[in-house]
Amino acid sequence: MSTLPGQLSAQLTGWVTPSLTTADTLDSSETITALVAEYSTTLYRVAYSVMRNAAEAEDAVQEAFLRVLKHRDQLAEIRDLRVWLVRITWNVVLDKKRRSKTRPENEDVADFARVLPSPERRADETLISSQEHSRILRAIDQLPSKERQALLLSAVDELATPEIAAVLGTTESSIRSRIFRARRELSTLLAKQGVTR
Amino acid sequence: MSSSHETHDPHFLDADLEKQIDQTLRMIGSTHPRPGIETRIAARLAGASAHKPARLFGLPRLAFASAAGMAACAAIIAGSISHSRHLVPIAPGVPIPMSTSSGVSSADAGIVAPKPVAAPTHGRARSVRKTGVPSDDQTLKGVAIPKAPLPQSSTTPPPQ
Repeated sequence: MSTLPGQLSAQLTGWVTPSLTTADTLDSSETITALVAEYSTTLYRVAYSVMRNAAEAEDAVQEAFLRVLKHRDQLAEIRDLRVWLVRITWNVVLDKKRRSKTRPENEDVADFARVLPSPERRADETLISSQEHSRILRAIDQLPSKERQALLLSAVDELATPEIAAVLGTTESSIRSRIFRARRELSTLLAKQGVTR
Repeated sequence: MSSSHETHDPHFLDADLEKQIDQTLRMIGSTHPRPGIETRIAARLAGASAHKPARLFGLPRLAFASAAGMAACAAIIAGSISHSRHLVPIAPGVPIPMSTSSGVSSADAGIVAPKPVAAPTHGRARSVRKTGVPSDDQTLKGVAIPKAPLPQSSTTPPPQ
């Protein structure tokens, strides 16, 4: 979870917990503030998995929360806020990606690998160059959409298979088979390209 | 780095590829946004709340403008219908014969108007004949016209 500003964390003390699934008695603005604090990083990762651009991913997260603000009357009826938020973000991201197909790609994988190093990243992970990462990501983009979407969502740490199934509107077994097929096809693609050489 | 022997081994190739794919996916899934994303999102949400669409009497501006336009159109149409009903001719006692002729025959000249048209009291006719002495600019050139009227004295006997 990202670091909260002091004022925000003081405001949210006592009720922002991992078991936050309903918004029965809370004011909508406070609920949205809590949702931003709780899930913005997760939603950013979901957006980044598709956009591959830090600014566009953050813009997608902001747009997702704007939609939440627009439909804040429905907050009390949502059973699982995390899945709901991820689904909203996913739709926003797919819309943006569809609209930007005419524009040139501007991946910044190397940028985020350089600027935002994870402290727990092992030394052998840094051996793979950003070019190889970009080549793998381009191969992921060549996968069929269903397999690609399942694979990208499975990459987000916070999402388990049931949640991915809920976001994509299918069953868990379907998600597992999609991820399996995606990895197999990805291996085939990369082997053809000779990524290890 | 992989040697040529290792890259030709399919098992090693698969393991190496799987490792690289895992690393790439892990890198995507563990990305961190720039610090302060919550503040930026909150600022954008606050800006969006501040720039709500203008509402008049609880209605959006577009709906209010549409309703006002429709009301204006209805008022114009209603006024036009009411005005037309007031223009129905009222006979002042003389029954108007309902002619069935085409209006081109000479018999149609016998139709009497319901009311004679009165001359305007303060109005002027289109052309007014001016009486009196014409001015110089109204006289024809070369025609002599006495300036003064002829004397009408009783002492002067009329010419025989």
